[in-house]
Amino acid sequence: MNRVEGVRYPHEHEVDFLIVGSGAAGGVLARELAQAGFEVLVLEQGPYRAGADFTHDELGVFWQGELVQHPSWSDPMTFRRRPHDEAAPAAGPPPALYARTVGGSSVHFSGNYWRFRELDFRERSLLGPISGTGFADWPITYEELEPYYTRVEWEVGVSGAPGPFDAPRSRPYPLPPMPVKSSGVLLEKGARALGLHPQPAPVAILSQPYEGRPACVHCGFCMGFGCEVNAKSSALVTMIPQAEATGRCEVRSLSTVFRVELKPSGRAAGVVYRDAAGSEHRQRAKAVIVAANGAETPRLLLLSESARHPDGLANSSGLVGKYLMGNGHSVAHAEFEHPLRDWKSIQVTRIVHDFYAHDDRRGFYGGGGLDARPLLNATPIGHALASTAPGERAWGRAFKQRVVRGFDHQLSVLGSTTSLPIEANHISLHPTLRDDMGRPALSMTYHDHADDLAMMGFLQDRAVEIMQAAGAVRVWREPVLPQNIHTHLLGTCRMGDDPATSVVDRYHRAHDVPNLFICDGSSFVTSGRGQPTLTIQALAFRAAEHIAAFARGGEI
Amino acid sequence: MSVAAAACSRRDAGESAVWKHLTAEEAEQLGAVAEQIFPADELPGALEIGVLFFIDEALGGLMSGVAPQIKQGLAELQQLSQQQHGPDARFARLDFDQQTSLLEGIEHSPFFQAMTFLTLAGVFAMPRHGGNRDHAGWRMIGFEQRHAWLPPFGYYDALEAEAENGGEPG
Repeated sequence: MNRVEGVRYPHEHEVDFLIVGSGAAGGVLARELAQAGFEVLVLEQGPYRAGADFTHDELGVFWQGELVQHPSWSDPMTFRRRPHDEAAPAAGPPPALYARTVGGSSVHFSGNYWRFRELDFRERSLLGPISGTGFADWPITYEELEPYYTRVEWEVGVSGAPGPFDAPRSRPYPLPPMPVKSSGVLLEKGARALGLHPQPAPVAILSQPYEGRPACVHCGFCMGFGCEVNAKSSALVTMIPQAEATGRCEVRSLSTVFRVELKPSGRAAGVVYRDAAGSEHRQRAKAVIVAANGAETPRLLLLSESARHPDGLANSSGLVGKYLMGNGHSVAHAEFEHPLRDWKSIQVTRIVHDFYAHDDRRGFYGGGGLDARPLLNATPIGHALASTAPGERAWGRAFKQRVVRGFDHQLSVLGSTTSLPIEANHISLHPTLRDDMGRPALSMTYHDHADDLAMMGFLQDRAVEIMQAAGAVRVWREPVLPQNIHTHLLGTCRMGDDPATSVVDRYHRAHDVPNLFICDGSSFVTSGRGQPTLTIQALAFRAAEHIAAFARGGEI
Repeated sequence: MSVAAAACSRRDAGESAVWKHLTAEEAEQLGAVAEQIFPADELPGALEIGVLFFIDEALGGLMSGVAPQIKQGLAELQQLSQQQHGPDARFARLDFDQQTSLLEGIEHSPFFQAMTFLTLAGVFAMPRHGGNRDHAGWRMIGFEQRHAWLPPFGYYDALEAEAENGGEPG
């Protein structure tokens, strides 16, 4: 894919839109607004990597966090379960695990593209309140978002086929499902034996050539890796080049935004950012859109406090950073008699959505989906580190024999479920820890709701039954525990009609600042059941349409 | 030549006494621990796969952050060996089962956790990092590094493709 060496905006030039973040949401907004005729500048803290820069180096990419760490300086994060616990620097992967690179986490994701359903947007009305949570309806409905779901599927390229429980769709998938893997065949076999309804997984990965990009070559280095052939439908190879091709969009990489600045009138004036050398720059803009993900977006707003906004920018509700959600996950592993070689190709080819809806008979709130995949067994080090059952020794002769046999013979069944919005779960600025540039570190506070933990366990029970029904020779469970790492970063600037109980309105405009928009996972009111990126992009397409109309109408 | 490439050539030449970051003593002790974690059986173990070359490079580069932990852990391991087996004992010279039972006592320590990661990374990381000699780690688990694969990928999807093709191999 040839990059268009396009426009470069001087710092003193006031661009129409300055977008913080080039990921799933930022990419869509950049492309839509640039194609609508506006000048767009995207600031991205990561480098501008392309397909040829991506490798199969598992140690460097996956375990040393090549795509995840800040490219220019150390930017530590802390984690704690409860607000009264000490926020300690996290050992191992960062608690907010996202990719710092042009295209954001869509570069390293696995591409699972579930739509939400009608119920996901109005479950509070359907079920009533849940004590101790901020469980609420969205201000928009599935029907309103459906045209944008369809746009995403066709604009970025999604492979799939409708399932029996899917919400209504106005157009079929643009591409047929990916070839089924042995994990998919076995999930399907076990699920059917139990009377369930497995379906092909919808994924933002090309099963056939599409829009000038080639089909997936099944290399196996998908989850956590950048795609070398551009078959993964990331923002990097879909939205960003199309934005740049307008000649009106500049993507400025290695640019970390530290602060959104205001004019005396209270309107956003632009941002302060640092380049790779740490030098500070100011960039002016007529409007600012923050699309930095559900962890970095609230961090930036909190960092942008001022006399007018003492608790952080756009935070009159006090909810910036609050109601952090991820998705609940549980894992069961299974070993089969014959080789699956599930380390080839993509992560997921079949899913089970029979347990998606809430069911009072379970005795707790929730719903979710199951998928079969190699998970960490897709790559050799991950397999060796993660394939030991609780109680077994993770070293020595028996361990080695399990590792040697397991790589070809194992699969995992992942249960994905909700993460209820709880005010105490939040992103905040660490009071003392700083990054190398003196910026307060990102601090995550999170503890799963008991109902979400119960649903994780429920899904794991179903996973075990399905694997036994599929003829597994051995099935084991990873303990269901409160989570301390999130790749889905949601809910921290929730959308709503009431400025007292939400941060942005239904058009993603900050209630407090008329020319500030916030659009990414942080806008979510509820988490959905597992795969948020398609919804993030549908929201971005919808937001771009409204934001462009506001701009044309002189309403920004 | 990069440091990792230099390590690879030393590894491939079968050299063993030219450590860049380890002393010969440390190499012997760490090698014994690595061999306990991933022992030789009918398939090669950590030492034969070249894990020590990986660890030597990693402790001076990619994973230099854990080097102090490793050095301290080694000292404690040596102390423990002497406590349990007399003042002349050295961990690397204990017999295999004695080493195993000694390590069972410290398997949850940060030292042993770090050594587990280093050993498994040395067996399974790309050979250019210094270990995984001749892809020995990959070959024993059936992994092959390729840029492209075609379906069918495994036994069960091949079986299904065959059934869909009316019994003809898919």
